[in-house]
Amino acid sequence: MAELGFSCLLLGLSLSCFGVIGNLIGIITNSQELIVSSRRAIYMTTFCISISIISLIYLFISNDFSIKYVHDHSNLAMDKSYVWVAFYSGNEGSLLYITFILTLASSIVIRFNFLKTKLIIPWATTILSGVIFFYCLVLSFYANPFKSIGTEVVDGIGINPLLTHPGMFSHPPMLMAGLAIITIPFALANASLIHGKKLDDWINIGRITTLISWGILGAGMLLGAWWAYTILGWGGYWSWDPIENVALMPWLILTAFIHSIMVQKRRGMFQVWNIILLNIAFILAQFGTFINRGGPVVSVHSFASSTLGYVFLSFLIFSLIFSFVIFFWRIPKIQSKRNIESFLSRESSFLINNFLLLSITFIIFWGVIYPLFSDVIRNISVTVAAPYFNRTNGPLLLLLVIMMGIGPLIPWRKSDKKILFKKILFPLGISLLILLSLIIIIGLKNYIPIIAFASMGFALSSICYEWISDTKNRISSGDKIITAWWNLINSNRARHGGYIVHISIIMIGMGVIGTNFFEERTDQAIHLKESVILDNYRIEYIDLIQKSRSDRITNSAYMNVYKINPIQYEEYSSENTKGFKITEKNISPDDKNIGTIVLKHEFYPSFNQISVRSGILSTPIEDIYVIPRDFLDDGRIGIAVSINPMAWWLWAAGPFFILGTMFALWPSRNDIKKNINQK
Amino acid sequence: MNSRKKILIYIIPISAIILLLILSILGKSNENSAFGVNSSFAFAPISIPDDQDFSVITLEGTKISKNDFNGKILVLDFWSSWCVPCQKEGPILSEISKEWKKRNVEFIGISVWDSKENVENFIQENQIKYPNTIDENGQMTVDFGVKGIPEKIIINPDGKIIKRIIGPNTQISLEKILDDLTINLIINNE
Amino acid sequence: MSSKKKNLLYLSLFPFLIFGCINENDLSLEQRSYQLSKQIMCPICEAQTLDQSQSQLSKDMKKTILNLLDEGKTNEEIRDFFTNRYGEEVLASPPQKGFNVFLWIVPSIIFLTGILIIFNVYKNMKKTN
Repeated sequence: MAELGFSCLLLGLSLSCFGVIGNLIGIITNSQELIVSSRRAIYMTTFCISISIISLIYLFISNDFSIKYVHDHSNLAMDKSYVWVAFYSGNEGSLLYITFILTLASSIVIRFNFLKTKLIIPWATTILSGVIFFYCLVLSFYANPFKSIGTEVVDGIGINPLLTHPGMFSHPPMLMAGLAIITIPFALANASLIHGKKLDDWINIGRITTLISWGILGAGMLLGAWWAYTILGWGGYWSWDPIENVALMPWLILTAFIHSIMVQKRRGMFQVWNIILLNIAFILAQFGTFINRGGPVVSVHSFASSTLGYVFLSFLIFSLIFSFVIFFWRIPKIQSKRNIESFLSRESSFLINNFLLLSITFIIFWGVIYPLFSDVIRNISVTVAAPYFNRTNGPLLLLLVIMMGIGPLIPWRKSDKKILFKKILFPLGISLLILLSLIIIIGLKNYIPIIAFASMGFALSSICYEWISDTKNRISSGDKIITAWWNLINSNRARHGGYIVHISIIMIGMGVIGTNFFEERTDQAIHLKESVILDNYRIEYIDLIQKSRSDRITNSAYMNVYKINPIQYEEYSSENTKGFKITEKNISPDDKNIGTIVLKHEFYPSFNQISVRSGILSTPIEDIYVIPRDFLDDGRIGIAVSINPMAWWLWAAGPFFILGTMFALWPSRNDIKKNINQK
Repeated sequence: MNSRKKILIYIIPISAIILLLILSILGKSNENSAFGVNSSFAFAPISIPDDQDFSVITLEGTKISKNDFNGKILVLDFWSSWCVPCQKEGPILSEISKEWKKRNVEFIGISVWDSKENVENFIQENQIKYPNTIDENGQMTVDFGVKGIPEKIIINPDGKIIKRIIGPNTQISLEKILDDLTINLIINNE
Repeated sequence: MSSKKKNLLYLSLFPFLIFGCINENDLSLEQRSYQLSKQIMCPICEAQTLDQSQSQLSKDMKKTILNLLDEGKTNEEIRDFFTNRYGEEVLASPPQKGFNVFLWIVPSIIFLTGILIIFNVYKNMKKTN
């Protein structure tokens, strides 16, 4: 089976090589046969890579530990459902997976190419074949997943215990797929640039593929945050780790792109700029691959690190040179037909949006490479983590949220100041209301969350305002409320899908502000039957169950959570700490039990690794979040109890994000008709 | 001409970044000191204040502090019974400490992240005679900036930290270091 | 450059200036130790702060933070204490002094460059109209 897999890989390598050369010769000699034949080579590559992937999965299922990759990432004790995770948990397997996604997506886009893109497809195929060729090359010679150990082995090392979590079934494959699919719009954009004349033909399919890549990447990052929140046991969901940053950067650039492509679609501007954005996104994705696999940066995500740094750096340099050469070769021939007409126009608001997103991206990029800079120049290692990113990106993210509220209100081309003022009055009033009520009624003193909530209220109410007023218009023409709204958002799916995504971003923003600025937290060590009191909650330690399995020792601590009246416990509180502990006999009978949480602490001797699962009781208002820190010899358990306000909204945003993206992608009847006619 | 200048504006910073990336993976060492165990021998720069004080209670219950060792060379050995390189070092240190006591070199063992039972067994097995202490709250470890074990800190007769050695020593390497130090001291005193 | 534009430039720097200044005296020792444990990295873990890390050394370091706070040390002094012992990389982000000013100044430069480019776009807009 391993031989089959490897030979298919080699076959894929030669086929994609033919894809590049055949296409180039075909285009130069204008031979249609050669172009068609090399296009079919891509389909065959997809088939070969699929066979490779199936044989690797088969090797995992059949426990063939004589294969090094299977030996390193699986063992007999592993639940078979984790084969899917184990398969991409290492460098070789994940590269194979990326190659598979890349070939599959390329085949689909090339096969179902719409008539409009016919002229650029040969060039796009060439570029895609080139990228696939590179990955096949790496797989065949540098990271061969089918390498054999040489001797028979009874059992493998096993999967990294941190990866055995439901989130792992979808988080890494989604991230990798999202980053791989960026290649498709990149190839299309550069193909149209090489072709030179048809700069608007690619944008429909380019926008769709970008949205797919962007949606998968975004959902993957959210899932990763959720995984970190529930399993890594450090109480956070985003740590501005280099690996997180390199996934975020292309996503931000793609976000800029899906906004500015609308300008090209509607007004025919930003043609060149959109291509630049895709080039940056692709290069940043390659930078991410480099950092991930053998890059020089320290990260918590060291699952797939390897010594492939040179290989990926070379590819990064190659793709940089490629896009530069194409760009500067073609750019003198292209002139934008139109300019922005007014400062107060939708185009202009998208320009500012792009500027903010790019600034954030470059600031993150600087933070990622600064440690290398310091290391090389003055030979001192430094760490750049959360404090830098929060402080520099925080204000820009706030501006972005405010822009999210202003942008949709401004019409294309130019707007009347008076009408705009009338439109902006409602959201502005709402945000002022929030501002005042936060200061006066709730009495907040920290101005950052106040400004943040007010701007989020502004953005949200501006969407609501538009929905309400437009729905009203439709109602007056005779529709019912729900059908009126439904028809409204269906009238321009790209736009209203975007609004749904905006709402999800605001929800994420609420979670971020809530958890960062209003978190309550205490560290305590308690015996059985003792309780920790924090804020309005009492957490009682009721049971401990210890289990030993072949590969791990699990301690599960059970705790009851009670809602209490803190005044009843005032006499026990201490001055220095927020939370305090009390014994069984001091418990008040009025406490209301609101749930039971389980804290898991697992030790894997063969990995010398601890895996911690926090106990979480989640409500839309706040999460009670308990991390088991240590199990002391005297029977006490050390726990970190925190109350994370509005963390729930972070995860609730996920479905909205996916829904909005899908909605924006859903083809309207008109689109389908057009395509059929074109064919 | 103008467009060429434009190209340069982009190319210069990008090539600088690429150069940086190349340089940094050239200098990248693949060594990984996982779980705080130093498996290879090296001298480390002394970054902590060189007059860092300490005062600990030994396993026998006596209190010792840095001032008790004025006029002697003092070797602080941070170790643990579960750490493999430390286990190999055990008999070597036991031997050397007896030998060099005559030449005014004292040893103190500081056991970190360990249990009393294991530490006592280890001392018995290797017949270690010099004082040992368990660093229960990690105060010594953090005060002396110890990242991994084994690590040795050598303090000169004036109470100044003069050497930091990470990773396991062989009999020869440690004796050579002590030799150099004592010779230097004699020269300096003269 | 006209004075109006200059004012706009200053205004654009404003968000960076107001962000992230919390008065440490308002906080309890527990809150400060928690804050510090988010600003100091675990020296033996890869890219984890003391707060995130489960390692024994970071537990010891957290105890040290509490001891130093009890002694009345300021946050600055505690950060220096750890920098002296574990090197600059023990801080989650380098301080804004010396060579590291570079790290903190480049974001403003990026932001300002962006603003200048946007100004240019609008200037061209006026010309063509």
